[in-house]
Amino acid sequence: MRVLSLWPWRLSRDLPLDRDETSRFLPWIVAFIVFLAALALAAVLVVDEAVSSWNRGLSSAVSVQVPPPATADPAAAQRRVAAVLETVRATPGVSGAEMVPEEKVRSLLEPWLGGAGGVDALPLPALIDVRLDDPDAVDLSALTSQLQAIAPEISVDSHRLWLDELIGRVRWAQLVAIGVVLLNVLAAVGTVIFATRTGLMVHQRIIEVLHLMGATDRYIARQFAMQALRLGLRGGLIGIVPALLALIVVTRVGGEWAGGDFGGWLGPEIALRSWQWAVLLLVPLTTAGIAVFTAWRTVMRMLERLP
Amino acid sequence: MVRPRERSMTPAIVRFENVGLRYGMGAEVLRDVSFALHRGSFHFLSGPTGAGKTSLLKLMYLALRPTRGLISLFGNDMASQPREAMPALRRHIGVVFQEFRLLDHLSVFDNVALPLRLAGAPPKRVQDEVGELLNWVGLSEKLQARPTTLSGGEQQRVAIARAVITRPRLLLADEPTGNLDENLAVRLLYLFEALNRLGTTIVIATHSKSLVRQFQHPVLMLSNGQLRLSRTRTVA
Repeated sequence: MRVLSLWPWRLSRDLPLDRDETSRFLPWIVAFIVFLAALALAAVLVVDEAVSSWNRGLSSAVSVQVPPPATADPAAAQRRVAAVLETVRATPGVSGAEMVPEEKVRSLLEPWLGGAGGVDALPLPALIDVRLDDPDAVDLSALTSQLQAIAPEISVDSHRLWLDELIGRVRWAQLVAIGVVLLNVLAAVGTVIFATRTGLMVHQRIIEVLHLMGATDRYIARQFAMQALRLGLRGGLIGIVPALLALIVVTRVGGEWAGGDFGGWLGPEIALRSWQWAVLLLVPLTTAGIAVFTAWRTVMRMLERLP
Repeated sequence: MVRPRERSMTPAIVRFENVGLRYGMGAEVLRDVSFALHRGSFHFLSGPTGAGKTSLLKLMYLALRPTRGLISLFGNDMASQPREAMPALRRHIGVVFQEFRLLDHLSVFDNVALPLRLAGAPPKRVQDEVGELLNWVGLSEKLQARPTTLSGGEQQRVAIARAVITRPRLLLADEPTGNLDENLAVRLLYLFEALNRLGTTIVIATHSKSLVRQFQHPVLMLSNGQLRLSRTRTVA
């Protein structure tokens, strides 16, 4: 029973905080804050996951481009590719190397160069897809030197350069999303401070009576804090439900775009893992916690001015 | 300045020594106020409007701090008391405010029960004692009524019941009979006397000369912020 008496709905409510104007608008502001914060946080999590995925996928792959010899002799070209494959496969840290079929290379270039008469008329380089089982163990500059000894025009593309640039840009977007989350926290704090101060002013007369009867600051602050908890949870629930629905839609559509008809051109799959959904569910609870703490501190600071 | 003779054995419940009070940068509303009230004493506080009666009561119920001088309550020097100790001291003081200060959103019962609940009284005790007291002041039919639906006299009785429900060691009342008819005012004074006999120290600010005459208790007389006259016969 003692535990139950701590339940916010069962605590003393000598202050009619339910009837305040702030009780009507605060849940909606909190709902909006939670909605935005949940979406921004989801963006942070998705981007983080995407960057990790890119790092995992592309750091363990290298492309080697072997231009055809100037003589246009198919046998010489095959010998050159074979020599490259042999060198690459013998390199420590390399788990495998396969030549990309010429048809696939042509299909990749077709959208830009056209079909017959376009790509078909060009001498295409051979592309070798190299998989690394230990990217750190591979000395790419040494490998490049070895390969260029076979033919100086051979190039090795580790994807690192453009990947780093892409990750840099994405990290900026992630920072913006984190900034949005922090701004939402500030907005929540500011709103609760405003609402609490308004409540203190509206109920100044009652607070003074309670104070003179021997109510402690904590007794009064607890009522404001519990009201903030009630409104915060109510607003959090109102905000998190549409946010989760929106994210469910986005992850479904995003998943189809990334892995299906669009051939993955929109980037990594937009998906959230179970623990990430759980983190998002913490957003309304955290917001309610921030509201409670803010209301408590605001009231305690104001009451300290009383004799 | 009043210099009441002090009881030799009992410590003063209230002691003022050269207390002065001013609001902001204004003139002093109380000057060099000194007196001591002992346990079980009963005083009227009288004086013309604006003499400082309410300010003096506010100092006693710890709603204000003096600008100068020393105040001691229940043997505790207020200047050296930490702020955290104040709520416990306030719970020993019952106050009947001039304008009642009832909480309009609470029922009559809950208004009177409030000091008991703040003191942590169990629900059964709250139920019994509040019911009994409201019955005594003639409001047993209005336990669940809101104060705004009551007459001025009824509100005053609720305010008085709220002030005495915890049987405070010090009871301060600011014009408690102002809205009551003479019969009820006398009944109220009998209630205060009954509490006084149980050991409660009582100070009643009043304009009513008839009450002061009828009840023959010592009078603290305030004029122009100074406590200048007291009928010290029973101040002891």
